[in-house]
Amino acid sequence: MGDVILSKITKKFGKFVAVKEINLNVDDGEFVTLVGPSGCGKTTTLRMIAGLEDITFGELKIGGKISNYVPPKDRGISMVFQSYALFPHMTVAENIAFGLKIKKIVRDAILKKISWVLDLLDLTGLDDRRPRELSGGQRQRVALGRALVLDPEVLLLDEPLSNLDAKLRLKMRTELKRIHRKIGCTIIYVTHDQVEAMTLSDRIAVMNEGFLMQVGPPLEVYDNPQNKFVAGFLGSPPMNFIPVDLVKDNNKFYLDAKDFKILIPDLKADKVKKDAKIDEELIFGIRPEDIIRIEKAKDVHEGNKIETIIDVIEPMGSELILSLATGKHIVKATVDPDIHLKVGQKMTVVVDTNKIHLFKLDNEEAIF
Amino acid sequence: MLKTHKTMKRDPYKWVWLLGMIIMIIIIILPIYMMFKYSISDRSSVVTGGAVIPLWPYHPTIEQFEGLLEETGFINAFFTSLGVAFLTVCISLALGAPAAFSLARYKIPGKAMILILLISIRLFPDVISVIPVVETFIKLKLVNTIIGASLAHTLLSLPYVIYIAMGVFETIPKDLEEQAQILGASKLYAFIKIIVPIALPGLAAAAIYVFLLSWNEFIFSYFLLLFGELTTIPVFLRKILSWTPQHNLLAAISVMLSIPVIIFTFFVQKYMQAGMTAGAVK
Repeated sequence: MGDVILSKITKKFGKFVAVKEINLNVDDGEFVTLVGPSGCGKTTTLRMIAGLEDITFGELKIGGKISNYVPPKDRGISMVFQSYALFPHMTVAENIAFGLKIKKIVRDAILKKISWVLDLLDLTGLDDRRPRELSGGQRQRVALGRALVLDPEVLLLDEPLSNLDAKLRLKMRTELKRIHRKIGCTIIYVTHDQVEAMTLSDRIAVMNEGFLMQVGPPLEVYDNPQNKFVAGFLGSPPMNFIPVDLVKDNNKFYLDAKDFKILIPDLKADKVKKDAKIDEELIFGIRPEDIIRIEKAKDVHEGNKIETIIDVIEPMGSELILSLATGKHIVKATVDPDIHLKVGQKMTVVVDTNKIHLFKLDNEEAIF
Repeated sequence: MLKTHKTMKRDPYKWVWLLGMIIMIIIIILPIYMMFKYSISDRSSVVTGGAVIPLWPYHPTIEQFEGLLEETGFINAFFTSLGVAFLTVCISLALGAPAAFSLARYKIPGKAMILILLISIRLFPDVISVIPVVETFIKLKLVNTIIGASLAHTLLSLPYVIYIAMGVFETIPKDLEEQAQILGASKLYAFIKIIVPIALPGLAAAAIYVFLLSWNEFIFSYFLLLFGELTTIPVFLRKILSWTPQHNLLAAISVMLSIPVIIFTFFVQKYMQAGMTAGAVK
């Protein structure tokens, strides 16, 4: 069984704490991505699971067995490095056979495995090439193949796509998903790219400064971030954050940003009542795609309208990213392409109040 | 590079530069040429210096070489030199490569100090270190032995081996070892199957460097082998000098001493450079 359980895993390098009491359960066959900015401890966590790094505190279980002190080769894992780490003096076939030879598997079985994996990864005919004679994408697949032939219960991938060019990365992303479906092993994937994390995983685990911030299915984490960091990390362009005051008027709650006021819908008002005080300073968050041009909005009232002036237009092809000045603040909005929009033009937008987020100022925890 | 090249072309003094360069080359080549000329000189040419133009012996002859190849003293010295050099290469690499690997891979307290201490013996003139070494070797009964001479040469070559090999190992990414480990290899297996093959050209450069160092070495060999049966070629040359032989014999020995060096250097220059730059680029 390829389930992995991390209980209060901590890693210290001298006095520096790289990973802080992480709890994470990865089910058998699941695709879980550790995502976060560089230096957040995600690679260190992966290396601890692989056994390349000692675990300072905590317990690691792989397949139900406590594995803190099990050497890497006996953990039932396999790993693909960011650099691919192909052995330059060996051919593709020799690279792939390396682990099998150590396991003293008979020659015929090794050859069978090699041709199976070459076929799976679309590398047929490249057996005799050396790594330097391969393209980046081919190298990446050889590295993946070398890991896969060992039939790992858990496959660890450390930023496997980050050295590929943008087009190839998209292709390999799809490939990885297909391979995972075919092989069915547990995959723990590390990346700093939130798009990769969102598109590939069954669940994502967002990390920052050694802490595990939130774990969940990608869309759930995207829609309901538990804190400001997760909210800002996922999504491109990132969520807009605007400092606001909570005010009460006529038994309704408003977020006052000085330039505009947002009415909190009744559904969310309960949480505000419970977690925040009147006149408390809070952070209001809204995703660019939840800011809509007034012409397209269904539900317009005084409490969700913002008067803005277009400051910058960034055409993305399928959409436009607008930087809108509201007076004191700049908010970004993604809208459908429209050639009539000009910089300096006035524009009224509407906020989808069902999708607004609110964070505490002090600990940045989400109220909703 | 390109820029200097262009300015050279426009430089009105380029003939002066060229002339200077030719003079420099002549200065470097001349002693080698003289050695070669004397080695094939006949008796009368030795005395008079041969024809001034074109600076060539009256009757070129290879009799000195023929004589040398029949001379057991020289043959013995040649093989002693060869033996000492090969043994030195083996010991230096066996000690130096693992040392370099651990210095390159692991965090060792006082690493900078170790590296300075390693090279320190070469910071003094050899004559200074030769006395304590010979003194010690006498007590250890290592004088007049091939192994003694090899150990002394190892003393000189080891710092270089470690420095070159360290540079080589540092260029090999740590990922490769870790990957091997994950694929099931032990540390030793990974070292032998992955690290050594990749490091081989660099290590070959170090080996050749050591070979040449030992082959040419004089001071230590001289003091260690002075009173025994064994001599290396440089020491043999010195011994012959004491009975004032003819120039052409000395020159022939010198040529025999130089030939392996020239052949070796010619063939492995590429590797030498590779090894050196591998050491330089971190």
